[in-house]
Amino acid sequence: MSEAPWHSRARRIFVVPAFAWLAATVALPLALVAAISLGEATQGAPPFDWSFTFSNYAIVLGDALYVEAFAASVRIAGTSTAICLLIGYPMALAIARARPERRLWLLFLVVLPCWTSFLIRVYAWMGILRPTGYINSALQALGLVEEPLGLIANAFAVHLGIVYAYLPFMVLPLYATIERIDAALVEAAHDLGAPPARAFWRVTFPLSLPGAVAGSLLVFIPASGEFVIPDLLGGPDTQMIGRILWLEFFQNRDWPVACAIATALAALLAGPILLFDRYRARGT
Amino acid sequence: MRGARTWTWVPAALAAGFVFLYLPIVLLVVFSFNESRLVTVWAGFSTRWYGELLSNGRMLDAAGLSLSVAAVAATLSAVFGSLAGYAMGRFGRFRLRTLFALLLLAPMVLPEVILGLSMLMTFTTLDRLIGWPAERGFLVIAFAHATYGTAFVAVIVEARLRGLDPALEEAALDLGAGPVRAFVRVVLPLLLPAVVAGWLLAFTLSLDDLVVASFVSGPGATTLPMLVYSSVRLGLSPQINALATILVIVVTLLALLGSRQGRKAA
Amino acid sequence: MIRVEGLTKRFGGIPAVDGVDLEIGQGEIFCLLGPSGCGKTTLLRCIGGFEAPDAGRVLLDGHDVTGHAPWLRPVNTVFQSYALFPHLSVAANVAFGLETLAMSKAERAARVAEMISLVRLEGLAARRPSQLSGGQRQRVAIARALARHPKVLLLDEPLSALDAKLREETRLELVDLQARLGISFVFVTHDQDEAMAISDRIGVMQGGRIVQVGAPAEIYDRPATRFVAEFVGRINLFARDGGWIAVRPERIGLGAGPHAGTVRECAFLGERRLVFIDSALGRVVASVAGSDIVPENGAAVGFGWPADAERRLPA
Repeated sequence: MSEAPWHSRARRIFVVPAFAWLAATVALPLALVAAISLGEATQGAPPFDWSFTFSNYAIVLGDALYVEAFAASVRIAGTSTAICLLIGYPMALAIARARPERRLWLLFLVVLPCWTSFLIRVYAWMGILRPTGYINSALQALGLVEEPLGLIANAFAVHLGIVYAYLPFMVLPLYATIERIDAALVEAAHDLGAPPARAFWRVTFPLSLPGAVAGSLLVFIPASGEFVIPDLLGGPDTQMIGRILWLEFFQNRDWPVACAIATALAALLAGPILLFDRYRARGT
Repeated sequence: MRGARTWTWVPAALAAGFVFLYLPIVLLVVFSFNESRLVTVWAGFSTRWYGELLSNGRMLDAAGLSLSVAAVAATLSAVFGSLAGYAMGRFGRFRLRTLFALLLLAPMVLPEVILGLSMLMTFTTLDRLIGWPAERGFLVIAFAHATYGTAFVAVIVEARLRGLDPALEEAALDLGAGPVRAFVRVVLPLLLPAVVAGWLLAFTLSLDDLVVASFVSGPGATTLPMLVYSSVRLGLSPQINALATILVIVVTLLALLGSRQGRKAA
Repeated sequence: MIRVEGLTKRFGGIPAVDGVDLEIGQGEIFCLLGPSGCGKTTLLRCIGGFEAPDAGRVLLDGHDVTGHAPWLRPVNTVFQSYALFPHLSVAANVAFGLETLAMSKAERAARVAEMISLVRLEGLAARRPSQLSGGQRQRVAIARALARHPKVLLLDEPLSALDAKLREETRLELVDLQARLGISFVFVTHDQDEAMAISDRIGVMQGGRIVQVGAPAEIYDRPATRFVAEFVGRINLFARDGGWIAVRPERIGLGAGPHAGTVRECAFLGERRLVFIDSALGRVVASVAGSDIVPENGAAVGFGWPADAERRLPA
């Protein structure tokens, strides 16, 4: 099939500037990171020289610190994603089953914390969890514990922080998927003798899986590169790769190694990102 | 999904989820009115931390910088996000469309450390090549923020476009308007609520960003989150609670405004 | 006025319009009639300039406009959804097409007023489309399309969004409007009653091709193919000599006749009554006046038709 010449001209008017902008602000920067990851660190400013060496990758992949940080990131992000799913699914289901005029408000309440500063939400948990925080003060005042509990600077706090910060990203796609399921399907299941629990597991749940996958990816991908949460709530046993990258850059000032970490992380996330793109396309 | 019989624990789980989401914020707000310097011990009502916050010159400077960065970033995002959203929504099939879609998606999902690093690499390379930007300040941070603001605006605009009858543009073309005129006179006014909602989102994202700004900004350019971060690393501070409360109120109002625009768009 | 030559348009390799030749005269109401998916809307969109044909030409007044953009063609379209700009008033909608023409403000205002009164919407000029009824919106769409004084008005299912009663009134108004303006109207419909009622000529489309062009009576009385016969009105088809004999229900006479059958059912339609008869020829339907007395269900009945009611169709 052919296209009208005016139509392709019109398309160029809109596609070309948008594409140029994306190429300059997304594609070029990411390509530069990949290029500098092959460079050599120097004492200059900026502290690198163009080169073509894989030595930075040798450092990243050969050092247990980095490899363990990658593994810890995937582990922590994965566990947090599972917890988000367990908490977020009933929430999404409840909103989808609420009266239509209430749904928008409930959804708004889920999203609202996201609009509040991320940093400040993490800060709020510092106040709750630290040794002199609300929980420990309360427990000590009630005489339940003698010494403050170690609630912060550990894996527990990091998981909590990630679940807290990313929960809305799980609820939103789940809600969108569940809400779209035709109510008549559930009624048909009831009509065919399935009680609510069975109707849920045989009809609603399987149909909501695309939303669960999309939501899980939406939590897992950014969480695995998280910096603020492990930095403020984590401890020595929660060295996530985002924080390692940060330290490599700001403390060691080794740009090529930082770029190699970034490239490796992006490569690690390419699969989940492409998968998310597919599920997003299917969802709409 | 109406008509499904509900298990009673499901709404209870929702209520518990809301407690989880809001309790930390409520504590933050309540203790911003605490008299004591010890953030977690209540010692009576006071607004002294608001007074100290508002006379904290560094805090005010950082807030001013953040607000102007956010305004510029949101405006750039609105312009290019609308273009990109329109390109995606209306000119469905073009070469490299998959790449285009991925370039739009990447800034939304990639970890901020990667984005921040990549933006800095770009600016330093540019500096090497053409001598700009020698000092990475206001404009550089705004540009960096606009890269991911664009993606969010594009998504909102594209969603709104999907609900718009394509015959409206055809009617404009039929009535003698070229594609640009049709866009400006017909499409843009109808997309305006989505563009405004997208602008507000890009503004908030920019205002909230710590990681990207930390990477790209040079010495002397400190945004509000950067200042908050360095203060928070040293421990809790009642001034931060006061700042958080102001932010919560402002953001809630903006979000209400944005969702009203969004509903107008729907 | 309009000449379409060998027009072909494929979507994903499948032809939506397949080698169509067509000529539409000055001041004619021409209707493209066919079921959904037959290519009638695609053909109209090729004339309007919204689709680029893969082969063939579109000529207006002898000028080849095949590659011309929609905004450069002297034709205008009334869209099926009307596509009224929701953010503009009625008057601004009508004025939209005049903004790119060289006219003074006063001329433009006069033209807008003229168009609004042409479709009898005086007093509603300041309203938004959302404040109008379906019928009023349709009039705005027509006024807006006519404002540029097009040589041809294209209408894509213009009545489909209206309820049955309003549709019939609007048909007459369209005919009246066309007579006053004297320009050609090309419209697309799947409703054969509508096509019959207002067209000077009808082009029946099937599978991307035009299978018959003719005046409504010609299409009805002398269908060229079995498809046309069945699509336009009710028809009885009897196999004979490797072909088909087609007889319209109103030409079947009940009572004495060469054929015999049993009345299966009578459907009362007001002015007409349809009698369904099971016979050796198969299921036969006869249309008789509503006031006629008809046999009971299950009664034996004879029937027949005059020789000039027969129409031979290829298999």
